[in-house]
Amino acid sequence: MKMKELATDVGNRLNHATRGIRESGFAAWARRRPFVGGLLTVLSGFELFFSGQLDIGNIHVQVGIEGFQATVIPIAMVLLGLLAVLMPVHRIFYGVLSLVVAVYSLIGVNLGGFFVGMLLGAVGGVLTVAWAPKKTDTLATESTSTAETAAEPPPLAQRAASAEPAAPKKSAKPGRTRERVAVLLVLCLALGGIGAAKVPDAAPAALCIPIPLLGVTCPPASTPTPTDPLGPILGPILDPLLGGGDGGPGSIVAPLPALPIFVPDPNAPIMTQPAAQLGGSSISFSGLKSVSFVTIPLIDGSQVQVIKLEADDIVIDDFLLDVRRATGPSLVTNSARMELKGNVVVYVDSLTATLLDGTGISLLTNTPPPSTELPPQLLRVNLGLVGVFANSISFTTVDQQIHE
Amino acid sequence: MKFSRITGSHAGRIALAAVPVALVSTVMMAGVANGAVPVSFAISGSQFQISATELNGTGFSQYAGVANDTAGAPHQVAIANIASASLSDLCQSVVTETPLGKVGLMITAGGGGNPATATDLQIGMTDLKGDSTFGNIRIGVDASTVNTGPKGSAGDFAQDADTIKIDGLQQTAWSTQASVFTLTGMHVQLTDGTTTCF
Repeated sequence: MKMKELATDVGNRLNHATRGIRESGFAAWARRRPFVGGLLTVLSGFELFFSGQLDIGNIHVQVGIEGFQATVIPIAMVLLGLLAVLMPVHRIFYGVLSLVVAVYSLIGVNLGGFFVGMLLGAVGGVLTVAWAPKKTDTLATESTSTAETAAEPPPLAQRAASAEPAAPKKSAKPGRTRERVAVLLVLCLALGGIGAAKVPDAAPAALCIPIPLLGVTCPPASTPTPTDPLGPILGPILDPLLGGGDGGPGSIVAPLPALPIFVPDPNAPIMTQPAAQLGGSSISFSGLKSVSFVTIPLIDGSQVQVIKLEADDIVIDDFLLDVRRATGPSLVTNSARMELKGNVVVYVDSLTATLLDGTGISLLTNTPPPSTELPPQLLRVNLGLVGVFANSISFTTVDQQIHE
Repeated sequence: MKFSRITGSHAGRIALAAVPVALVSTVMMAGVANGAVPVSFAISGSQFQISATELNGTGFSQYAGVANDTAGAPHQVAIANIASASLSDLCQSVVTETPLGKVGLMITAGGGGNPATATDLQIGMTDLKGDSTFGNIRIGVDASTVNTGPKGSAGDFAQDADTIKIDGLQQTAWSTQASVFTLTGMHVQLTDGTTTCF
């Protein structure tokens, strides 16, 4: 036994020496490891990643498992491919894992990167698992498998034969073609599998997709740009500290004489400023309960003064809601009819409209309330809408668009 | 004896690894197409269309956000979250410009009274059409205080609702993600870019 080990060791060194002369460094290096399989596995990871990397800028803090999966699976594939190439001894482990991950990507990441990444990973994993050192030079690192095959004389004899210095180059050629045949075989099997699952056109397409898909989705510019994740978190904390927020909780201005008295609304949720612009050709209230002046909280702790309308139902025709800030895009919602039903509460900072008889009416936070009650119907209404709450709201033929 | 002969040759090892993988992926694809196995989606970077004859959902919120395209250019979107949704006659189509011309992908599912379902659905949309009804709605709340898991940034105008129902939904979006997407009766079609959902 010791003699045998010694012999293989000597054979190793001899082989290394002869190959070093005959082959370039890279080819020799690649031949000693499951290079093609590992490379395909790495490519599969990249394809899976770019098949749909979600990036909703600095607004969205990723929570939940969905974004996690779409990131971790591609990273795992890249690592498994690299490790299989760098540590060929563990190729079975890495290969089987990449097969499992590749198949799982089918349900984990955009149908396996729309099949392309999953196929790359499956072929890569199969080649990695199937790869074996062709020459005796790696036998030393493979002591376990040698022990297994030792019970069987024929394969060992074959290996011994191929260990002769003249043999390697000859045996390499049929190996290559066999590898190609194998890749084709696997492709056919996998495509056949998908085809059998009633996914029409996937088979011919899968053959032509990889290049365009990779070409299109992998330009360096497409790398998702990491945005400042601390902005939205630190902003609200820092603003009051830096004096940015105009008016802390203590700065509620006492109402001026002759102006409406504002009382805090304990039930109001935290709302935002500036108010959205709401327009309509007519607005009608049923069961108008109250019009009151209240203060509501903002997220930075300050309070704003608003007018609160409470009613059973409110209907607005030719509804238009424009949500925008001082700069940037606006989100415009149009609807033929908006119906608010049940416990409707509306917070506005201004209301201008026309009465049925044609006279104008306006409700503002800095003017005294009108002496007369609000009529049940108003025309050409414009609201500075801070918030609306209702048991249900229905929009007829709604069209919501972003205007940049 | 026989097994070791299979493992002894390169082709044998390839077959040994490939056959189970092909089998498992076939079974899995069949499961996905029948809605038995849910899949998860996370796509962004190109504009695509989503349509459904009817959407029913619970746990809705909407606020402003930004989605980046493949070139890294930011696009303003309205981010809509739906914690749990069922979509009848769901259609999702995307058209990509490639060096070889336009390539389109169209996925349909949830037909025949057997709607597709999604949980933790998040869509970054720019355009939405349909008749909609919201239950227990709050319009104008701060985006950081909405009632859904994902939230917007403080100071943004937002709305949330316990239930949402949209008939004749047609929307254009830059991004979508869903942790669990059950695609009953899934049908994937490659198109030349002329066939879209609407």
